[in-house]
Amino acid sequence: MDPTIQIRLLGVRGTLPVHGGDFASFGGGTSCVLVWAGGETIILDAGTGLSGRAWQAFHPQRHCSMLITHAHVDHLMGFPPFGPLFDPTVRCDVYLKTREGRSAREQMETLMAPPLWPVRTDSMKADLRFHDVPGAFSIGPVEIKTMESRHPGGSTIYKITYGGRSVVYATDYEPESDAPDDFCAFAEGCSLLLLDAQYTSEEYTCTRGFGHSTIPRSAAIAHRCGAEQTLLIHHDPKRTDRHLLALEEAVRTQHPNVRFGRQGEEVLL
Amino acid sequence: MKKSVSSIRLRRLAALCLALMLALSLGTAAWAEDTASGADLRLTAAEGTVTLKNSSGKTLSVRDDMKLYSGYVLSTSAKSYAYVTLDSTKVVKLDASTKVEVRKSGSKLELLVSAGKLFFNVKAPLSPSESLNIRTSTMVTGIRGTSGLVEVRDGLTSAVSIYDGQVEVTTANAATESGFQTTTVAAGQTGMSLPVGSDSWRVILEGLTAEDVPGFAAVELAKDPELQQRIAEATDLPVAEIVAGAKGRLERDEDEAQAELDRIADEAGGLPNRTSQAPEFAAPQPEPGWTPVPDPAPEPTPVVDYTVSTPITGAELQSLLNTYQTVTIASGGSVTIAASESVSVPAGKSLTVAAGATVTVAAGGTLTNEGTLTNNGSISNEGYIGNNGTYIGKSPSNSGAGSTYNILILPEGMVTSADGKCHINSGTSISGSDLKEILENNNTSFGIGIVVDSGASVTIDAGDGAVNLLSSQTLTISSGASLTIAGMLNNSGVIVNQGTISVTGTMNNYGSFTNSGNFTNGGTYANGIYSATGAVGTLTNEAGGQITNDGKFYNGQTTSDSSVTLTNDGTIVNNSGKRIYIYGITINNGTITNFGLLLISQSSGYLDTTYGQIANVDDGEMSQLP
Repeated sequence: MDPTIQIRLLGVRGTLPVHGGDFASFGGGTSCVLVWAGGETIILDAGTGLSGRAWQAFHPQRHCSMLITHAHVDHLMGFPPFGPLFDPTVRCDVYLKTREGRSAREQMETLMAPPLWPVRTDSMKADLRFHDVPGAFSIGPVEIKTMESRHPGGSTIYKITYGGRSVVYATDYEPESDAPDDFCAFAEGCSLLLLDAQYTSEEYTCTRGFGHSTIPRSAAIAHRCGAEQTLLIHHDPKRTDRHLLALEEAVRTQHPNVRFGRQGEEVLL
Repeated sequence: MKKSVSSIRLRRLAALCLALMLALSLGTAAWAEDTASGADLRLTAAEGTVTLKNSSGKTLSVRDDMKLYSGYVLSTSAKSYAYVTLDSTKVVKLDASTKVEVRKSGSKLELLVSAGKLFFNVKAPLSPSESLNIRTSTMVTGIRGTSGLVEVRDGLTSAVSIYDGQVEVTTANAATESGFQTTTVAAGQTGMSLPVGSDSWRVILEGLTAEDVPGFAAVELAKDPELQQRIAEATDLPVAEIVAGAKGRLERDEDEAQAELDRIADEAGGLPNRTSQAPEFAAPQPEPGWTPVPDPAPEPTPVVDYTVSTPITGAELQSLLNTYQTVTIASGGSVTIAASESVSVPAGKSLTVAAGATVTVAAGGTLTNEGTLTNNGSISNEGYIGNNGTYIGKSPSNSGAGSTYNILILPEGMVTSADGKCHINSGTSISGSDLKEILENNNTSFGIGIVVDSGASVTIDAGDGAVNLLSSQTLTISSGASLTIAGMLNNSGVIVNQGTISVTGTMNNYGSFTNSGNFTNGGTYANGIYSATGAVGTLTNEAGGQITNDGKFYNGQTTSDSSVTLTNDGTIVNNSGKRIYIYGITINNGTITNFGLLLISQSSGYLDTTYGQIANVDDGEMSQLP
């Protein structure tokens, strides 16, 4: 089996999708990352980035696993219209942590029910299997570990390990410091860190408690973790390409291995 | 105060020059008489005031197309030029204020340049029996079929610039068995001979720019489309731009030369301006017909050097610098530039602090160099020291609490050479923190070039923090030198490796990295990135260069880096179990031996091996994921 992990970013925008020429480089789709490892196709979050043809160009298989961090709509809106879920030959295992007494299916059905959405989950033809999120589990030969994020209503941070390489997906995370012990231990030495960095330090004076990190804080955490590569994600929806490029350049002078994720970008580990 | 011409130095120099001339020239007897064989050497044209003397020192009247014999000496005055041809394919032009002796024996021609500049254009390669050498007091340039410029900068320094073709430059080198050293100067390069110690010269190669082409040569280029084409093909010089600006450049050169002559005349006590006063450039006396007339009586040689061997003040030093061409603070001598004093080494003049001599810039004092400042002794700065000219030798020590400087402050074991670069001397090891100190804590409004000389080493440890080479900075690892990166080096400038670079930490290349030595990566090497300014980062492994990957080697780090470039004309070995990631453009004209995995991104990676080869050995494989 090829020990390579392949990661493709389909949506790196936070909160809500944006579009237009000012957002062409970094993209406007909300949270969604495709991972291919050990012959398994894993979808991290189902934001609007999941729409379109990216799926067909990746590793379209009869089986996929979907690891959802939490049920805020910017992480779910790609799910209801996701084409493969209407294919009876497809099986999809959906992992979403039980929150506020609602199971994974119940959370999904809150969104997928009239009047918010006309199609319910039981109308989908695929073999949909909903799971709560344990602390650690496996998808084929791929190991998954999780930790709880600091985010209003809760969210899950995933660590995917295969072939001695690992990717940590930590969106919607508001760390309490530049060196949070629990997270740094969780992500230590990972091959790729995908880390929330929605705000600037100036913005954070007004957004503290919204459940997101700042760019300098996340860069410092990436350095502290010893992550080999880091892509900062969950870009604020008002952040244009020009602004992001300028911020990225400023970060890179201090932390060469920290960059901003772009929609469509791919990393091989 | 004791005034003395440094006669010992002059005697030594004369002896060296003599030794070099005897050693490098063809047998003296061969030049003693001009044989009838070979084409005639002719002075085809003269512009302005051109003086010609025969081998006996008799002044001859000048006319176009006159034949020149061995031992004749041509001198040009200000705004004056002379053309010498051997045949239709070999043209030489003397710049203004230039002095050349011709020597010819059969088909062997030698031009001895003792002052000024000389442009040459040899359109067709010389036959095996022919030779054309251009000699200065410090080097011999062998011409076979090329164009370029030879310049005598001072008694110890000469330079040759090559516009097309290449030449071999021979200099004395006592360290070699033969006593000589030969250096190839290629098109687009300037080779400058610099003294090393008391009996050797070395040739420093630098890139040639349009600004380096003087007006008197540019106007010749403008006349010759065939030459323009040759130069355009051989170099990156903006030939059209040089041609378009040739006339203006010539006028500017002439104006600058005249201004310098006027300044010298003024300093010499109001001598008449508009003509050169140097005896070798004096205009000839009018004479009728062909009759030679006696040489004019020699003028007294002006005193140009002054040696200080006692303590003096800054004001006294400034007075000496205003009067003399070269001022040397000898061992035992010292200068104290007090709080109220400001000393400037004028442009075109030299101040040398010899070993054992000291210069102290007190708090509130100022020392500024516009000319050449050589420090082989000790300069201590508690006030301000700045360099706008050429600084050579040991770094000043910057010790005062309120001191400022616009000059490189270097650690022990590093000197600044006449090439403008900071050399880490053989036998010296410096740390990454020393390197950071040079790169980051100096005034970086000017570029910094660091050369790790053969036998020297630099080690960047993890505890040193990231060392950042900025865009105006260069780092050259000479053959026999080494750079070890156990920490982190981020290059946004230029790294040239002719020696050994070993990475066990991280090296990020966002600038230019050229390897012709050995580069071993046992940690992480990342080439290039896509940034706000576009793709940056190029790695060129030249023919003969060896890259060995025993860690993680990236050409681009994500698919966003699709346009970063790696060109391999040498050898790359990827060891077993190791990966080379290819997200960018990879042109392989050499050999890649792969025991591990070449991982190519199908989305962005491009591997062109049309002119090279890839050998997958043992379990080695190439993989391209959909």
